[in-house]
Amino acid sequence: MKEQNIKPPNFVDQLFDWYCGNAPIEDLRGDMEELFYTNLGKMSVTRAKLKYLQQALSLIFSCAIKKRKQKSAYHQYSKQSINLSMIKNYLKIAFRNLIGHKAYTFINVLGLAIGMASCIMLALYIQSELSYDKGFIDAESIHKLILERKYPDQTKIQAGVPHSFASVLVNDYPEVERATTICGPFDDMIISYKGSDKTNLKFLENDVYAADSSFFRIFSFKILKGDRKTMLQHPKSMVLTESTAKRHFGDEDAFGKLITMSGDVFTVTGICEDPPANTHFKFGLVISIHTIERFNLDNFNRPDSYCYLKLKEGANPSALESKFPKMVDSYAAADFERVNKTSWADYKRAGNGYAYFLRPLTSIYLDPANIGGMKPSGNIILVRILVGIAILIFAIACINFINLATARSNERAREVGVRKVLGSFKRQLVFQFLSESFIVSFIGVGLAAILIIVSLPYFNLLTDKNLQIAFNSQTAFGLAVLIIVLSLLAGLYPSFVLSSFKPVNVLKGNFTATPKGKWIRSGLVIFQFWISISLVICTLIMQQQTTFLSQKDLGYDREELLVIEGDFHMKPSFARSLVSEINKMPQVLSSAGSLSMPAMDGIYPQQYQSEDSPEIRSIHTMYIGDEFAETMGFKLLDGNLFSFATNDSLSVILNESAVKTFGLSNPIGKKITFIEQTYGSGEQTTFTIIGVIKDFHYRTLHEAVNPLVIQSNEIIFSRMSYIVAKVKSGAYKEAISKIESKWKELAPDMPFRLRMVDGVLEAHYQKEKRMSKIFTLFSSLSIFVALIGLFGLSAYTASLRTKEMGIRKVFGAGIVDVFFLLTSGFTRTVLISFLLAAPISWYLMESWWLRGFAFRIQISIWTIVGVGIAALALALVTVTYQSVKAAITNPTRSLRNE
Amino acid sequence: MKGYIGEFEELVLLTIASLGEDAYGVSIQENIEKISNRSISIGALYSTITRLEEKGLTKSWLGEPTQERGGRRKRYFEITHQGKLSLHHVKDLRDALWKLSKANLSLAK
Repeated sequence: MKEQNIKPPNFVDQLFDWYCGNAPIEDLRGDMEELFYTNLGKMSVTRAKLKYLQQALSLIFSCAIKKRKQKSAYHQYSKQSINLSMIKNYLKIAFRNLIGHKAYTFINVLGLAIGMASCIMLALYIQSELSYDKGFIDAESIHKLILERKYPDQTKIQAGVPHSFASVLVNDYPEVERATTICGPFDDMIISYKGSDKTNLKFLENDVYAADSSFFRIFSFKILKGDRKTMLQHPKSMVLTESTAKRHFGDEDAFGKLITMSGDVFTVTGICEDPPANTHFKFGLVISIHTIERFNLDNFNRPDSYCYLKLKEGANPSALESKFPKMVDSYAAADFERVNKTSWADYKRAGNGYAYFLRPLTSIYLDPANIGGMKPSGNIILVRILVGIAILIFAIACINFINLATARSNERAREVGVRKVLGSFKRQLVFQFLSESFIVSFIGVGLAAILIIVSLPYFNLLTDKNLQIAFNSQTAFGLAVLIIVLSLLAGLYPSFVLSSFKPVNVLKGNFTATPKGKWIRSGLVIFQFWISISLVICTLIMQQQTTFLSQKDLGYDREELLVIEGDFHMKPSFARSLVSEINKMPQVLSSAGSLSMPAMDGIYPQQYQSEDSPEIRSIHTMYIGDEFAETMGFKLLDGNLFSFATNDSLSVILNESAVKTFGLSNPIGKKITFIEQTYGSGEQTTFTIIGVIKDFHYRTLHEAVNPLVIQSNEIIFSRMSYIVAKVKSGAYKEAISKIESKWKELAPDMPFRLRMVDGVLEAHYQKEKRMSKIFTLFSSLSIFVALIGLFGLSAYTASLRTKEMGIRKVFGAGIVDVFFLLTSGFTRTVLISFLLAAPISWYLMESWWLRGFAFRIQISIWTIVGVGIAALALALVTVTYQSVKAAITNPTRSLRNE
Repeated sequence: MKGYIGEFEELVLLTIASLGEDAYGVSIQENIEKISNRSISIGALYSTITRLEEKGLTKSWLGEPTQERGGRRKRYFEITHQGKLSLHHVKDLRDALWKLSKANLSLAK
């Protein structure tokens, strides 16, 4: 025993203790130690230590300890059997603790509830985005045929393909079980049928599709009436969706009814369910595709329909894809050469081509190229970001709990000390604290569920979805898992910190919270504010961009502009007389017709060649009527616009970019040649340029302004599908009702549709608007949860320092001094988080989001600084309540016990 | 008298008996090592003691904490009456056999 400072190796003791668990081994440890010190006298320290290890191992492998462990397992204080009464005790004590500190519990529960509600709502949204098209039977084996159209200068992914490939795929490739062609949507179809009182009823029907009989055999939509296999087999058969049937026939049975549409009489041969919201399909009425003559002819070159195929089990889609180039060569080439009178090989050599490939059904909705075609597509990036946000909000809520629990360690330390002295094992204490976090999570998640039930309808409005929380065992299981995960994530760290206090230190009374704990807490608060400030900055930039989009000068006057949507088949004489009638109205400044409408439709690329260069260019083309340019407010730079006085059928107007593309220095009077390609005739027409207008945004602001050629609708018999009217300001309502009654008078049979151009434009930025709204919601929630945590934390910090503040006041510190002392720490924390958040959010928005816009704002430093100041102000307001309370407390109160 | 004690068990029992009031882990081990001049591990010793205790041949109790060994208590061992009986039984058996084979066991040549 002479060398007291040499001790047996620590790790051996730990190993030994760990192995023995709670078996009584005091005597063994004593013996080992005694032997060790005896050995020290006989041999070197290293050898003694080795010997010690050897002894410990010999004991570990002996049956002595095994026996002792077996015995101790039945001992009433054993920690190995967690029996029911102990759990009951944990819960009871936890409840008492939580009820005893109501404010603390409230803050914790509130933070968790809001955080969890946000997470669950996001999870519902994400789940719904990911569930698209997965509900079909054999969804995995269904694929969509996609066309990659190659041009010399670009390639374009197209959802539509020529219809004849469907039958080729089934006939030539054994691995294809079935293929279907569906074509549409045909909008504004006028359908009529005999009503119950024998009168002829007329309605306008949208989302009309034409499909072959395989469609309902590939896609397992529920069939309510009719034979799935044959209902689309014969021409002039028609399948209604449940809601369409109900809309037209009410409770009457629609099956077998006769419906007239575009001159054909259809029989209703089937009724199917409405396509579920989480499919990429949207139709209200499906007719047999064989009704339409052109689908009975071969077409391998002009994309006109969507094609889906179902592969046989075990078939490899990429193996099938590799056979497509040959298929195109053998079928499309002949068709192409017949129509275009040019060699297929030459065409391909020039860099053109048709490449086909398959996309799995389940990936269609989230594909960035919108290959579904029927509905606006989802956004996989948005889904990923929302997953990220959900995780971050979860973290912020957990951090609140961790911070508040560890901040209370001073208070809990004494309890831990006493418990340990009375024989509590560390593991029991951990359980004790975990059961507290379990109860808080339980209440928090329960409250979150209630919050979700209340707020889900509003969230659905915001996201334009129909999210629901189902009350079934799956949901219950999910919530239970959430509660357990949450209570472990939030409770594990605090329970280990709190239960590891040494009773000697704690009970001596000189216990103070370790600086390490304080550092971890500040670090976590910085993390919380870093995340929420970043989210807020991103949100603000998004909002600015969306506002910018809706206010940007488009190059035409969109205010007080109405557009009447007719269709291509509107009789020119009717349209012309309507325009002149509208022009006569005192509320209307001017009115004109057009086949193309900016931001709407009717603008397609066409092929042109200029006089000076042989190059054929693909340029967007509009067809407008006389005075349309004036009504829209296009700015003429040179030459003339189309007018009633002249025949403009061989005149064109170019925009500035087109002039640049053609490289014309003095464009007026120059000629350009138009080469018909849409129908493949290759017919050439030469036009004279009569005017140049300033660039305007003829599509959405996602795209830059490209070259544009404006032809007169006089070349297409002065047809119009849009009529615009510029209205005197404030005369909106009158003008609309007058136009409507005029329409009814001239065309009582035709549906009247009128929109405001402003509204049309707004609709284009729906996606961005929705995204910015979702971001606004969740960034505010995240900062709110973070503030709740800060509030709780400041309350405890202030309470810990009551005495210190009391003494400071006794020595003459003023209220302001005390206030600053208490708030400076938090101010620093928020400032650090801001400094971390600013560059990251700037980078994210700059390099990721704003890049998707051809026209975008510049991020202003002041936006970011503004958010920083606001966050600081919010944080200060949050901590002020506690700080002021501490500052104005009379020192006689806080110090009277000393 | 069921059970049968092995050689090492006998050694341990006799050592405990010889140490009297002071029979605890280390002292037993040291004595065995000294007398029999062989090295035994503490694990082997406690295995045997545990077995003996289960057979009811020894009993043990914890002593008072002392300044030594960091305040850890020692576990003292003592032979039970049963233990004494079985030691006697072994000895009687041996004595009887010795008596019978004395002539043949003589070391003198």
